[in-house]
Amino acid sequence: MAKTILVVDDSSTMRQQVSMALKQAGFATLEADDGRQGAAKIAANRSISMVICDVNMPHMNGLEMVEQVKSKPEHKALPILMLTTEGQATLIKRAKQAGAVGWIVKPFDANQLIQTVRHLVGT
Amino acid sequence: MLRSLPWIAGRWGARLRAIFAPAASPEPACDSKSPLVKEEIGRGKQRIAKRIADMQQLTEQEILACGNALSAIFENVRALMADAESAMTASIDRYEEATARFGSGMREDGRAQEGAVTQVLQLAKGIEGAIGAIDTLTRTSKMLAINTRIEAARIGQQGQAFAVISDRMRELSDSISSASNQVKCAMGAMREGIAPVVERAASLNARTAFFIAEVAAHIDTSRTRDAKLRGDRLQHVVELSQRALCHLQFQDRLQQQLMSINRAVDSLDERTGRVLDGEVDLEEFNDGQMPGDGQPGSGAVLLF
Repeated sequence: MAKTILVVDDSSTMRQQVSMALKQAGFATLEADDGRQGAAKIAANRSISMVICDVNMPHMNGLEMVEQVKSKPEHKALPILMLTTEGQATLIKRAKQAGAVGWIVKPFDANQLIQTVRHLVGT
Repeated sequence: MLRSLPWIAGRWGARLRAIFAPAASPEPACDSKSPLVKEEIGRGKQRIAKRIADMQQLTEQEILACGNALSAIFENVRALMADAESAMTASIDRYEEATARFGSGMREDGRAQEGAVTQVLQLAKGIEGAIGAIDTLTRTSKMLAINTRIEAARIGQQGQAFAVISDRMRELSDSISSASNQVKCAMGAMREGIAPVVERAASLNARTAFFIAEVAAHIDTSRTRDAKLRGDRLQHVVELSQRALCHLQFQDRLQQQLMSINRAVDSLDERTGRVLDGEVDLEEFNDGQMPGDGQPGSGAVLLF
């Protein structure tokens, strides 16, 4: 059965592109357009194997979402990968401290993204 | 310094040059026109903001449409590959089935042929046995004819009739012996004729078995090669699609450029206002972009 990846990004084009790359590699995807919706989907869906999350989003940004999700013991092992245009060291450090497993700077290389996802979900 | 601003061009450039030219003078000029200029710049800002919003919307629509088309192309290619695989598998299965049927028929024919030859050889053996018995009878009747002839000679004149019988018996024995020899010759010829038939049948069976094995190997090779070929093609389509995805990710960069234009327009508004208010020495323009030194570049992957 295909593993499900949640894509959290406020840009519909970015969600589409990440989802397309993942689907072509055999993954199933779910989408959320901000951190709040992303956190809600993670809480509601136990089948999510991994999360790919933007940083700058309305309502709740990606770093706040990671902090909220990782504060719950049941989500400690859920890999969350940040995918953003940001590259500031302070943000990267904050993501790492919050419990994110990695950081990719946009625009992403689809092949590299898939390899990273496969490595993180163990397929 | 203001003349070097990249966005001062065309209509705005001409207007702003007209505005800034008198700024060298210590006294602010065109005081009466300043509100009009500010108003015009305000309207210009609104028009630019509207164009930027339109451009963002149009770009998003076009990127989504391209993405959908790309996704549909990929799904169609995948479906096409799956259809081709299923058609190829069905064709190979039919091929395999027909070959198996042919092989089975050939083996059955071979067995029937072998059975017929064995039967013929057994019949020949029986006939040869019968000929042996006939030969024994012939020898016995010849001996009897000779003895009869001796007895006829001993009896003399009265044995003449026995002599005739003896002659007839000898003649009959000779005829039977001759017929038996002819049958023996025919049997020998038949055995000689059957030997190459048996040899041919064995050779045909061996060739059929070889042909069937070759076809089976060819089917296996085709199956493996076709599966690999389809896998390679699909992988190539995935790579092309991923390359196209990389090219489609220009919206973030475009967004940054549009934000930069927005900042430049705001700065233009603010600086023009300052010039119109009489300020002469303006600091160098900064479009607000942060230097990227020491930061990971596009596509960088950092795993913690």
